Amino acid sequence: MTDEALLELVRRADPVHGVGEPPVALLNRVLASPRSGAVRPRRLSRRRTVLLACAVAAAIVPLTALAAVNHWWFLQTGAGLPRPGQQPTVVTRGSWSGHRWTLVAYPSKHFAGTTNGPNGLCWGVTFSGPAPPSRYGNMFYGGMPHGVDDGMACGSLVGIRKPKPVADLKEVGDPIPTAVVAWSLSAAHGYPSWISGVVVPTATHVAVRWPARKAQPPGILASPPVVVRAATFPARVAGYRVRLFAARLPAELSRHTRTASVTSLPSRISGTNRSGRVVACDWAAGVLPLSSCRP
Amino acid sequence: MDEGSPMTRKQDEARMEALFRRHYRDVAAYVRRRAEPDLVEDVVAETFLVAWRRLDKMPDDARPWLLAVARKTLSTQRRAGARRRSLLSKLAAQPLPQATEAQGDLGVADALARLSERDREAITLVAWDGLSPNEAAVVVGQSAVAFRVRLHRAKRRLRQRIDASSTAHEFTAGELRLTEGELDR
Repeated sequence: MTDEALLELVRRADPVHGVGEPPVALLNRVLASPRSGAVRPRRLSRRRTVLLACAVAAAIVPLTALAAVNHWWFLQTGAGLPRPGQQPTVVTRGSWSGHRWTLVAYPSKHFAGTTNGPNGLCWGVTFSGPAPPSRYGNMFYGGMPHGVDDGMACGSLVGIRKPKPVADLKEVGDPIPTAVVAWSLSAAHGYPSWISGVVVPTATHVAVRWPARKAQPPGILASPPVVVRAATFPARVAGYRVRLFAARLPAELSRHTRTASVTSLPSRISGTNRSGRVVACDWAAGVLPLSSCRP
Repeated sequence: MDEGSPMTRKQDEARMEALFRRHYRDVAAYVRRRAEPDLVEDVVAETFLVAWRRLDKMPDDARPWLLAVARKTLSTQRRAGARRRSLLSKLAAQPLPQATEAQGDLGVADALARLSERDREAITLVAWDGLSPNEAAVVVGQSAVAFRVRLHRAKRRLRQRIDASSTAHEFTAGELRLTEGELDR
């Protein structure tokens, strides 16, 4: 198809067919308006107002108060996680079987228990309620997070990016600069299990796949392949051009015996853009070529 | 800005009237393609108000300049929280124009709606607003060369979307779906 033929097709999809005569009333209104003067004082946009309010709030509301109000146990002293370099942001909220949760992210001062390590991004799902668990049980993680502790994961990712060239990529020794998805699985007694993670900014959705499983004692039942899909949300953390996601896992992937845990790790995690094209492809131990995640 | 003498004022009014009559349809059509009907009048009026205030800075080729002002005004409306649903987003859900169907190509509007806003803008400025690439570059504030590259890429992606429109898989924004299990959110 030639360029001109293509544009002609687009022209035919033009939703506007003809505009009426120029309204004299509008012209008169314009001509009657003053030309001189004065540049109108610049009003604060809603966005600027919100940012200003956040900055003021950040200055006057101590983190401990935020921790109490939001049930953000990770802000409590002794939680074993990197301290926030700035106030945590709420990425999105939701509810699973009546358990209200919040996906939170913050840039850390340091991570993995060090005091002089590189800065990183921490994220995680926290539940709210009268008696939230201070710890959420076992946690698995993949991609590249470090400093994982219970419901939170932290990593030294700064705008994780797509690896190049993807076609030749097999497994990467140092996943930090090349990770396209970072994720963590969590389970806790009395709560649904879930996966949360970080993905490149072009991925608007992620799909997490578990392979079919044969029955294994004790208590692990056979299951068909499982795919969990989730929308992603911008991190809203300055300096991190990434998107975050959180999704509940199917019951067959959770085991609630003596300790809550997730029964198996995903085989693939893929991120897709708005057009449905795969832009990120990982598995439990590293980055995969994008072709591995194509259907 | 000094309004000047009565004579100057008369001359400016005449010039403004000519400008308005010549370009009103282009500006109104540009805005109607991209904004909700209830916003159109405000945005068009604001565009010509800006033109009136800056008449002495108006370039000879006023149309791209006016559309650039309209574009900025629309953007401001969006930032100000004005609810705006793009006509384009509706296109995907609407029956396609007969001419398109007659050609057997059912995917043009849908493919257009699936493009990024940046790509869509490049294509529609040329196809719908009838601008040359050089004029469109003025509207979006790019160099002519940069816009030509952008347009070229946008057209390439549109072709790909049209080709793939029958098989494209679309997720619904905000959707969380499990293909197995009985999960809710």
